[in-house]
Amino acid sequence: MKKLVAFFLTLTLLVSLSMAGYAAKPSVGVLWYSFSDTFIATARQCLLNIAKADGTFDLQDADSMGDVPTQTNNLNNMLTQGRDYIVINNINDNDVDNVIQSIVDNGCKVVMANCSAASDETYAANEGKVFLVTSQATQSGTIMGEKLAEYWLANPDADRNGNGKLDYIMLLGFQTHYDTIVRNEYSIAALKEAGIEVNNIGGDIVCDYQRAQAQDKVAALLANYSDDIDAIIACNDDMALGAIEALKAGGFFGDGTYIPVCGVDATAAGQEAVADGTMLVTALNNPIKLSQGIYKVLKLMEAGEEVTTESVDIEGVHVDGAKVWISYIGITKDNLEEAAYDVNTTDF
Amino acid sequence: MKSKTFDTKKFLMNNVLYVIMIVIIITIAFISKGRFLSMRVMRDILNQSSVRVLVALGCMFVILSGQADLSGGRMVGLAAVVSGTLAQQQTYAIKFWPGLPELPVIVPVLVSILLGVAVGLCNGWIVAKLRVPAFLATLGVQMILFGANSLYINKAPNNSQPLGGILQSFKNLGSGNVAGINYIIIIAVVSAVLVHILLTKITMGKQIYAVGGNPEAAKVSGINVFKITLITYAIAGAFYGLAGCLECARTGSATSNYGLSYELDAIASCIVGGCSAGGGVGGVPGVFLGVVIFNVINYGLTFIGLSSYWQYVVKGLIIIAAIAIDVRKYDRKS
Amino acid sequence: MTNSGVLLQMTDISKSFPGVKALDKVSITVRSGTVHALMGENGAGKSTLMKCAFGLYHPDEGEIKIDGKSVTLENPRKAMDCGISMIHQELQPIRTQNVMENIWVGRYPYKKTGPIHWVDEKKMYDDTKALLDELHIHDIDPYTSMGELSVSHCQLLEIARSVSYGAKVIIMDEPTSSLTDAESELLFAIISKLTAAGTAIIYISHRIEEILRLADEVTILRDGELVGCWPASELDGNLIVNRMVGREMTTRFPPKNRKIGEEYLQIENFTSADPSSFKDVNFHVRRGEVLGVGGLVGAQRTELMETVFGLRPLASGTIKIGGKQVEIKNAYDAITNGIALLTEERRATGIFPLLDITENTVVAKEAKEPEYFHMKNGLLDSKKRNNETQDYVEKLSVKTPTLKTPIINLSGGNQQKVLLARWMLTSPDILILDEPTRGIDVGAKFEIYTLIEQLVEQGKCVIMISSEMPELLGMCDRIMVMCEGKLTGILDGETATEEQIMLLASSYNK
Repeated sequence: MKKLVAFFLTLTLLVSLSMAGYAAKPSVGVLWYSFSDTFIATARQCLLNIAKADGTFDLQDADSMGDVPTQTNNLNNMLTQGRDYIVINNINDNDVDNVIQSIVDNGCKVVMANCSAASDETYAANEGKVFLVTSQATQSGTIMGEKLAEYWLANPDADRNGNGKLDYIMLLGFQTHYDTIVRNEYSIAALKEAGIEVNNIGGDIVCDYQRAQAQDKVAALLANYSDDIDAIIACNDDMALGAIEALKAGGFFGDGTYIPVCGVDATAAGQEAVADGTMLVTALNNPIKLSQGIYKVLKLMEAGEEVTTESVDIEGVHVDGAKVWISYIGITKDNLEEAAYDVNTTDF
Repeated sequence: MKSKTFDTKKFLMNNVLYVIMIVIIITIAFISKGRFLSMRVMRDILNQSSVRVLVALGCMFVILSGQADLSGGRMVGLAAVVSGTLAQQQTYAIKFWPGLPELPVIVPVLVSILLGVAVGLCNGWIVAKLRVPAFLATLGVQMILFGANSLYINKAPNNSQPLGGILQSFKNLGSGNVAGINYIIIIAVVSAVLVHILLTKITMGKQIYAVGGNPEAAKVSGINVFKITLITYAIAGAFYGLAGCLECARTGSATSNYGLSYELDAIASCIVGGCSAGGGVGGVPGVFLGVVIFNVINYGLTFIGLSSYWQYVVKGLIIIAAIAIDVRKYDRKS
Repeated sequence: MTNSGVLLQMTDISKSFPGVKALDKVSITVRSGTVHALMGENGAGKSTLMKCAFGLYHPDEGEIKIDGKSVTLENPRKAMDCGISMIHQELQPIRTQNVMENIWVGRYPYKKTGPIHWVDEKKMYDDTKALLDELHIHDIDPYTSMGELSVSHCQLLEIARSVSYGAKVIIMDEPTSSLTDAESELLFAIISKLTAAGTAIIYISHRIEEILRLADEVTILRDGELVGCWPASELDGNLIVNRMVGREMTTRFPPKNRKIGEEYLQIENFTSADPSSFKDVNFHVRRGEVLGVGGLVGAQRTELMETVFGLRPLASGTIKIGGKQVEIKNAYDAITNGIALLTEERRATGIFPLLDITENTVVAKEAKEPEYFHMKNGLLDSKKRNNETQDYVEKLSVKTPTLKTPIINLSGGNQQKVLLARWMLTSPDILILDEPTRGIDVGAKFEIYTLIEQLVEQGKCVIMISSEMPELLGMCDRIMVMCEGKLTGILDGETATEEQIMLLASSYNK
């Protein structure tokens, strides 16, 4: 009996607490795919900073830990709590439309962040309730491919074994990860576009976006294909930096032998490598702009205003219907200053 | 009555690890037209094995004492990040501790080891005093370590960026060499020899086997089981700490994801290397070989350009094969 | 013991393992309605022969006939189909399931609905009830969880299971080794019921008294060979022992030449921290004396001695050694105060199964004085460790191929000798031996008695817990008897009788 009373007391307490918490301000639930991802961690921190400084919303976030069931659980929790807005960095790529529709059906408005789009019907059916804020992930691949093509065409010595083909190593993140897929595909597409014949060395080299793994695997490939490798394309900076460490250990860079290495993210260490000339290019998806874009869309929805390129008003961001696109930029030695951003900004 | 003729089957069974390794090496050498059999490859493999050897040595202590430790990988990650933040250049733009002077290399190394010992003592205390089953206790500690590491590396101005601007003197620890042999190989080999001596030539080593072999009997024989449990976890922690620090030095960076699932590789190496999961059986030579075999597979299959996915398949098959054959070694001949 | 028909006949059975001829042309004939005892020292081949009869081993040569028909027993399943069943030495019931599930495991009665087999609980219950009634086991409900039952009940149920298979021959391997006397009586009653119904029992035991009482015929094996088969009525204890060990053994105990000295160990007002355990126990042991500790299961003898040794917490009481009060909080304290404890459960708390003879021998000494085996540089002196172990291996005539052999590969008696060596190496003044001869064959028992005799003649104190009355009466100078945690009396070893011990052991509420 005592237990029962205690249970109900606790329940009442919890309910009243949650009512009290959410009654005052419109509430936002944010679902990030993984807090331990560097890019996400930065965007998340920035979004928290902006929300705190602005104070319009009660904003809480959750970590899907790269796992669809965890995302589903977190989402259900937030829907149960009765959030007004859901920001979802969706990883359930196979079921995007259902996921989004179910959120809308629960009476929430949705910002899809940094993920692949839903079908056009979903946006049309929920006009003004569902927006997508994301970079065009394919751009990251294209930028790497274009910069590599420029280098290849400008440097006849770049074909180290003289076979007329660009022999490259491709360092992958996780196999099913969207970024890995498009970076792999579009970088090679851009090279072919430029009329360059390519040849893959080493097959699918999966390094889970990790530096140590990339370093170990590139070391092994160098031991066998040292004279053939013309370029290394990595799906993030950490792996690119691991490759650079392995190249250094294999005698490259020091005496002028150079192999172009491409990365994505423009992390601080990545920028350093660009500055000292060991990394050819790193494609930057500015996490600050993602956070600013998300927050701007939330504000516009709350105010009942239209979302357009003009009303969003962030440099390098353009709106196409329900889709808010953030452009990647390629960071090379020539435009390093563009890579700088301030995670502590509270502007939007 | 014993037969004196050479028993091929028995020989193969008793030396299953060597046999597997030689078969792999010959196969890869054959595919790569002999290029696999070079000093460079050997050095690379030993180099890549070094950190893993340290993690496996630590893990072995715990396994020998009859317990389990899942905290290894995350401890490596924490030590990598902590040592990295203590070994950054003054000029690095987003230096983690801006006011910190340039420290001698030994400081991050010692801090990593001590941190590992502290975490190990916690593990041991939770297991031996609170009597939480080791598997769950260290699973909990593993989560705490990862969380703490993620919080730490998220501190401004770093904000979860991979650590950069690591001092050259510290990086040398991971990539430098003397007479062509990398420091980390030397550290791993010296550690292995010291552990071997500890386990075979020191009373405490024998007591670890006794505790792992039968903790109740060990208690009755006057061995302080609590103390031995604490010590094994503490030594394990020390090795994880050292390994994390070297992983940072070797790669010149660190993130909170460093060391992910190293503990599972270490446990697999120990078991493949002849340790009994129940405790009390095993030793350094087997574990060392277990680690090297995994790295021969990793390195060799990448070397010949075989897709990473095949590597998982081959690794899984070898774990199962090695243990299946090993189990038969102890079968009573009936 | 009538002229009833032969049920099982095994003729000229031979079986070799690599390096060992375990059975050499052994024959045995088992008749319906009789108890046929199978005796021999450990390693004599009893278990191997029975495993051949149960289909666990396949004989290299020889013939097995059941009901006059020659059969090949490929596996236990086939043996059970032929009416042979075996109660194993170490029973493994499924403790989380109930009695009837254990009895019918693998062949639950079922009802059929299409392709689905529903377990027929009611039929299972009724069948179990009928089976238990048939064996006059009335105090077990088929729904009782196996985990709640005592060892003896588990054993009875194992027999019930054999009966349920329609077994005509039931092999029982050391069935009373973990039973109290009262429980053994229950088993004997069931055995006589079974034989009256025509079932044959093959009974393996080291307990000569039991054999003489139960058996109709006795087959004795030695070193894998048949010594012979006799009607039990033609045998007595000494004859059996002599035929088993193959040499004259006029007495089961070594001659005594003890000089009893002053009181050395004094236990005063000992009360356990566990309220259900012993209370207010006082006793002493003199130098050069063997103090026996008798009692039934639940008398708290082991608990008392483990508390003396520091393994269990004490609520109140004092220990004096040589007149000086000492504090013993753990085994280490006990060992440094010169106490040794040979525990009752050899496997659970004694041996390190996979470690070799040397490690098993030196472990306690090393815990007591780590530097004893150190060289000057602090490393272990393997030579000294091996030499000291070798000394004891010879002194106690431990039969082992090498010092590097894992102890688990030794027979029970030899394991026990290694454990004794472990404790003798710590040069204790007080040895507590808890059931030192349990599960050990007659020859090894005599050697252990001789060893105890040597120890007391050197002036050491020995406390021996034993459930075997002849052993208590034959070895001890004084016998203290406990009942339910209380000391109910101390008897003089010379004059005590089994009846006196039994009386004290069952003096409840005294």
